[in-house]
Amino acid sequence: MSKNPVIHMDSVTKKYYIGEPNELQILFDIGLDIHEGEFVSIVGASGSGKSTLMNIIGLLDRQTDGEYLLNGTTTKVLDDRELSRIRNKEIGFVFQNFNLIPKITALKNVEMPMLYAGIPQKKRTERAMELIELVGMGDRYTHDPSRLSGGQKQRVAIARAMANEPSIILADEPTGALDTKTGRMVMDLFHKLHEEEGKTIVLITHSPELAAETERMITISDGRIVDDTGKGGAV
Amino acid sequence: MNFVESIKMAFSSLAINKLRSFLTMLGIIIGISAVITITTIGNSIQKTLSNTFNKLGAVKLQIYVDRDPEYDGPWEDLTKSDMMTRKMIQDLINEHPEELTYSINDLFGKSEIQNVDGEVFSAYLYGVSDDYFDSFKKQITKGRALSKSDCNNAKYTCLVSDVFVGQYFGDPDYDAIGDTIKFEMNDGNNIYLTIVGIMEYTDLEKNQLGFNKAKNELEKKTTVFLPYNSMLKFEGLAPEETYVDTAEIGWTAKCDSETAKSYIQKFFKRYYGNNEKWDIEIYDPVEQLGMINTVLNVITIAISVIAAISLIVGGVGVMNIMLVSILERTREIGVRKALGALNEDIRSQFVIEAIIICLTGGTIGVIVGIVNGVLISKIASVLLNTMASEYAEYITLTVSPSIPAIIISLGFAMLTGLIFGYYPAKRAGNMNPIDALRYE
Repeated sequence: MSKNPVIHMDSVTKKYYIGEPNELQILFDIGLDIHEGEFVSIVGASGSGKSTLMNIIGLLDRQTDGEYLLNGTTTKVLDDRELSRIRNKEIGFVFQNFNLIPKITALKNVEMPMLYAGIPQKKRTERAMELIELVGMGDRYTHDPSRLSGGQKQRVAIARAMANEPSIILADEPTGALDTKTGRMVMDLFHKLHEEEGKTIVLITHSPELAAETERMITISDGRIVDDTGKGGAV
Repeated sequence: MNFVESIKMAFSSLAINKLRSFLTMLGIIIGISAVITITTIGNSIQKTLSNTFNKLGAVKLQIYVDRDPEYDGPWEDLTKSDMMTRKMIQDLINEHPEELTYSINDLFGKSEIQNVDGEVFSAYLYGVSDDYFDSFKKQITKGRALSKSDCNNAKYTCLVSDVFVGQYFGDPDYDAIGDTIKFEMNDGNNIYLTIVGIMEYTDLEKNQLGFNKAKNELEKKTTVFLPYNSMLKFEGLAPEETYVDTAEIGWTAKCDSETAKSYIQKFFKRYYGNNEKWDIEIYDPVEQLGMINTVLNVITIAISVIAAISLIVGGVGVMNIMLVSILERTREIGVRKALGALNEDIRSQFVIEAIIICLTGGTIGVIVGIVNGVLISKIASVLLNTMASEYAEYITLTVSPSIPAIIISLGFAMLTGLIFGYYPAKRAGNMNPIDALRYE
């Protein structure tokens, strides 16, 4: 475990409709450290604020107040352009509904983050092929998403999330749209990436059973961290 | 992001919705094809005309006597003193020997000739200037053309045709150069001319002379070309007494048509300056060509205005379809942004897509326009050949699309894509990734 945490949050709050009468506060005083190589789950009921927290961790949204350091870099002062760059290089998203780009091949989908990173075509294809093999989709890389099953789509999405070797993989309900069996396969893949590749993985889920599989479970309720258990240690 | 990738992506999204893409392009296709059709026709007419002029010979000014604009009396009032004489024209040339040339091909007489077998041929004698053979592109197969010295010294030389050699001497390969032929003129005098060259008839001449294709011979008729001064001498006329209806004046490389015109006007002022009824008119075929060009330019401008309107309408269609496409692909935009696409990556992707739509439409328009132009020109050529078949040899229809018009049209198509694609693309680029990802 490295000295500096990959994610460091201190007193992070999120408010909508800022201004007294209609103010809506989603997150209260979030303090959180996630270190390299951890497999962390964030659990909470819907409306608990866990999606907002995920958006802030993924730099898709900004906190209203408080400090968020990603790899020791403060994110508060970054403009949209710099946020895009960091998203591209440091964060690998896995969505509930896969969000693959339609009408292009699985391989092209995996290449996409590298395309925006400006990596040359030849290198992109090589790396994308490696990742596709890693997630066990080597025989289907020319298929476009409409010809893949849900589990296959999610495996392609995981390969895409790893494309630029991000600091963290941020998975938002990755098994939510899958049946138990394929959901199990996807979870096994995350375990494999964590154990064999040493990836830092943040899994957002409403399912306590899935969360129990991870090393550390952070529970959110009404915008506050109410529980943080596991090897990773307390705040 | 990579430019080539953007273009590939644009083409694949066009291919997904083929009918919609085609309908979007329709306005642009119509506009561009109209312009290319009209410019192809215009360019073809110009090329055809200038080729035809080249074949018919060098362009010359034609001068003739006509009524003064303020006089409308009958032609019978034209007296000999009002007419143009050959002497005047010779004087005009002598004043500008280096710049002006006088082409004579309007002096002719009739005579009879007999060969050794007693066959009688009727011969039309043409008194011509030495430039006649060049400017009418006569093919000399043996010997030489008439020279300046032949003309100036009124030598007894002539050129005959290859068909005549075959008929008169009984052998088409007979070397007739240096042979002298006796011509019995209508007035009873005989003249003797030595053959210095043999020329080929053109198809037009063969038609006019009643050429029998099966027998490869003329109906005992022939044309003979001799120096015009010799012709004048045989007719016993002094240049002062021969009157000319129309004189063809050419110009050398040291001069141009405008200067030649000014010389002619200045020269004839001496003779017609005080003549209230008659004056010299100068007809310039190049000016006529210029008028056709002017008409074509006006039509081209009118069509271009219509095309511009249809490009604007087409552009609005492109903008509309881009807005729809961006709405449909909101989720995709959100995903791309989450994966690290910058605003300008998204923006340039959609601008390139709009440009590709317009450019594809423009390219189809150019192809349709060229096909239209070629078809119309072909129909024109068929009509021309049936209506004026005897001139068909001289009019070779050249179909030639106008390259500048194609480049400019495609440029405008691109510009349309850029202008009308920019606003939707900017909207796409500025989308908030969270909202875009949540969009259903």
